[in-house]
Amino acid sequence: MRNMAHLVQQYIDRNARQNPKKTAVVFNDESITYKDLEEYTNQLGRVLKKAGVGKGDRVCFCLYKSINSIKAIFGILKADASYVPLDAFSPAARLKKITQDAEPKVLVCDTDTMALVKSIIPVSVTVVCLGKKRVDDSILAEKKISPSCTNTPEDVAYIFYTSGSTGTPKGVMITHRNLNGCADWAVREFGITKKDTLSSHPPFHFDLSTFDIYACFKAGATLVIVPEKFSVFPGALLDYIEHHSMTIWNSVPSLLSYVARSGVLTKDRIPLVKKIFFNGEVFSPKYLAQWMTMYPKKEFVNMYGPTEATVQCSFYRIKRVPKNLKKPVPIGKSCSNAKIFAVTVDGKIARPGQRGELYIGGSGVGRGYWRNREKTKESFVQNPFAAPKGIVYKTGDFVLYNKNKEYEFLGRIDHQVKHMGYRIELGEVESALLSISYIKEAIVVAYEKETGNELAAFVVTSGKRSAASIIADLRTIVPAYMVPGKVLMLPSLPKTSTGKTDRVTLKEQYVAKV
Amino acid sequence: MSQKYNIQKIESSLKSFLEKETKSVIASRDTDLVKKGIISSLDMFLLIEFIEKKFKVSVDITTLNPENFNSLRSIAAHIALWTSI
Repeated sequence: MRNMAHLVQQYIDRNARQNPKKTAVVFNDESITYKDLEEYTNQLGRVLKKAGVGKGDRVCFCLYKSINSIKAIFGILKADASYVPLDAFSPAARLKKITQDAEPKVLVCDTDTMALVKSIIPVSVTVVCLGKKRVDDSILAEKKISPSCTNTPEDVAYIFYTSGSTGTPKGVMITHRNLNGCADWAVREFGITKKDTLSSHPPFHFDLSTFDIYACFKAGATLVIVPEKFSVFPGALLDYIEHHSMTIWNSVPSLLSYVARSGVLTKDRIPLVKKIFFNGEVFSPKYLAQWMTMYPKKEFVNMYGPTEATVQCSFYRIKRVPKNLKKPVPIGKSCSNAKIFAVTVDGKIARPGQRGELYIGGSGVGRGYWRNREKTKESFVQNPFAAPKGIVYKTGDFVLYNKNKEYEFLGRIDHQVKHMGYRIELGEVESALLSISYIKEAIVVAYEKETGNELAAFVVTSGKRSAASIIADLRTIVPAYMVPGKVLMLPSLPKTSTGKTDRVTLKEQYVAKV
Repeated sequence: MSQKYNIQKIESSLKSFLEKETKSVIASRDTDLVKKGIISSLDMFLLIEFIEKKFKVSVDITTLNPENFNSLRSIAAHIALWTSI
């Protein structure tokens, strides 16, 4: 067994030895200790190995939020495989694309997701359905000691699929070393200890979830999974946070904005929460100011980082309540596992006051895109500058390197947008629209609203169609967060002088109509 | 206490509003709208705005919870109660 301490599943084993009775994970009224989690994941790892899983293999899991999700993640890692999470709320057609690309050896599900899983994979893929008596019995019959481990820190721990501009989601590979660097930074930077209780709010197919899981287990703390249902009920959400004595909260800003808007924040709420992290999109300064005014003693941290560079690359501790409600807070400076810098249009490293595309180097830079050499070569490049050495990831994010030597996010240089924290390539939505038989042309644009980005689609159809029927058809191809809120049918799409579809005119025409 | 709206009508207007806004199909009056992911956080404000305008009531979102406000049937029951007061 080599490099044990640098494989992320070893966090669980270490905590099980040092603090066996400590609660590792909580979900509603269920919980599991580190010792039980270690033993179960060892058993599941053994079952997966017996099913033929080994080093270099992928294992998908498709589960609703539950303790089983955490068990599946670590069981898969203990089988020396990489895990590939699938969103149980996504349409089968999209999940099919992902499983076809990932080619998993095994798929882990439970009785709630079994039917969906059966519809997306070929019969040759083994399905391990947790909750089925025969499967549960075979897991529990296994030895509780760790299966033999051949992975090294350079092996891929997970592949997360993000929106792809050509219509097919692309898999981002992150290694154990990448992940360990991120968790290590988070624990040291924020002084996370075993006394802490961290929230786990983002769904497990969203890479933001990895920050909570690995920082928590690195520190030997307790992870509280927040059920999806509480995202809709702000009062009940705060009750849940208080009931489970959470000390660190991490989520996308849209949820925090929603909670602020609902009027549920009062000075006496969530007294034990010390730190509030947010990541994934721009937090409207108006709602951030509401939070900070209500809770002046809590620490608020804006985090930034793409999936390709292991969730977190930069951070900014917000010291004062934002006064300029139109200007988002900076994304700050590099984390210890990353080295960020901006490159100007004339190919030079940005100096304070200059703008440019953000590049990321350092130990957090992932392995690239699964089975997509071309795309990997485009975005993961040898650093043309002296430092940091090695491969850097070109984010496509446009930033300002300000006078305080901090970075400020200005927008994208391509057609990618963030909606409710999810990364969406407008091209993927357009491809999905064009795959509908009666749609001849389609363009999707994003426009800003106070609560975040919204999408609008402009389509040319053969024959008369209603927006509702287009939306219903699209809903069977892409997840709900990718479906534009508005669909407008036009006889033809305006073109620029070069013959391209004129997105600017469309956007202006549309925004004028809102 | 007089009931201004009939439950069936409330449910049917909720159904058509939610299906249109969330681009989904609601199979029955007991479909768990939260569990099925039909109501996302942003849709909830739209839903409340719709209820307030349509039924001329005031909704306090802080008092709602996922156990009693999660299906056409339970939401309609709330509306019927609010409108009868």
